[in-house]
Amino acid sequence: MLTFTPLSGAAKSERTSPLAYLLQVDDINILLDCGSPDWCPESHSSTTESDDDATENHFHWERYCDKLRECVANNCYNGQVRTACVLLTIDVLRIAPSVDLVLLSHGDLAHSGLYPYAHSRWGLNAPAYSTLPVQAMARIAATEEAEGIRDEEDVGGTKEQVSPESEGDISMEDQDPSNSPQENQPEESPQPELRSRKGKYVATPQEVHDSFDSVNTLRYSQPAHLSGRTRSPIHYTPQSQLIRAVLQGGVKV
Amino acid sequence: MTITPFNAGHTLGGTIWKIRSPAVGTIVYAVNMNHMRERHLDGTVLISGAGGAVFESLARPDLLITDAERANVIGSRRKDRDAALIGMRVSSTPVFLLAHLVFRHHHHHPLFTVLFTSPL
Repeated sequence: MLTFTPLSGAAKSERTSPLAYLLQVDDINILLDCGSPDWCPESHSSTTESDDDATENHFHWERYCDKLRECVANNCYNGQVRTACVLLTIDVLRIAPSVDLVLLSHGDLAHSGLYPYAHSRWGLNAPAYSTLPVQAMARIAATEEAEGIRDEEDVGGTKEQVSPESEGDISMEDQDPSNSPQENQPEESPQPELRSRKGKYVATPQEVHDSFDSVNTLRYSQPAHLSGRTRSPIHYTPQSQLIRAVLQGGVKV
Repeated sequence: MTITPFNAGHTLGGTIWKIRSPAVGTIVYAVNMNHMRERHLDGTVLISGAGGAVFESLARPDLLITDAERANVIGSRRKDRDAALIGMRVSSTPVFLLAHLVFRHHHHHPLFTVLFTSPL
């Protein structure tokens, strides 16, 4: 049984970043990459569609972040069931109660930027794997991003600051996606309103360090044998590999 | 289940993940690869053999998850890129590549002083 669910990325939308794919293999849920959206998109002041772009960006990342949050934090999710979110993520909820393994492929924000926040605030405690340079680069990139955004604006302190009221607001917006762009009146200086809007999931620099400290690192071509949630460790014998090679060779001939 | 990272190119430590599962077989997750060898990075191991042969360990997966983001882009020659880079004042190019290039250039043409305004 194999299920592939794009949470974001090119397989989900026209955007190629951030990347986050959920892969279910043998009842093990693997999160492939955990990228962060562009929290502060460049404002194209010269073009006319800048407001729509900005609004669309925000909407995109809220939906993605909600999905990811549902996936990783299903166990400790204590809020009321938000109908809008359920509608949006019903496929994810059905197949993905929680994530068992995280694999990060590149050390940039688009591939691993949201991992610190998900790890420290949403309970993404599954074992995560990357290479040593990816761990180091992602730590640098995420720290830089966190410090930069936190210097510019208030995105919340060390605690989860989403109050029940603001959660309600988010779900209200999610309930009718078509109305969301209109709510943020583009005419009257949308930039401060958008920037002050809650929902940027930016970890503190300390959380970034702690999160990437918990990532396991592998060298290239170094296999890691993992056991399933309820299974004993799986070992590949030379015989099974030989059989497999013979079968594949046979198919080729 | 076994996971194995392989070099993807594109970024430092960039990874192609190979996942082997007894029930499903081999899954290869390969996004943002670079097949070209850069100054600061080797190219991906995926196409490593002579004549564009696919790396044996990654050949014939049961499922391949990949992208084609850069497939439509024609890369410029390294010589042209280097010339353009050295001529630039402000740059958003990868800092490791820039540093490497600047030091090389400085080695051959020690006429100017290299001054970094932020730690690498």
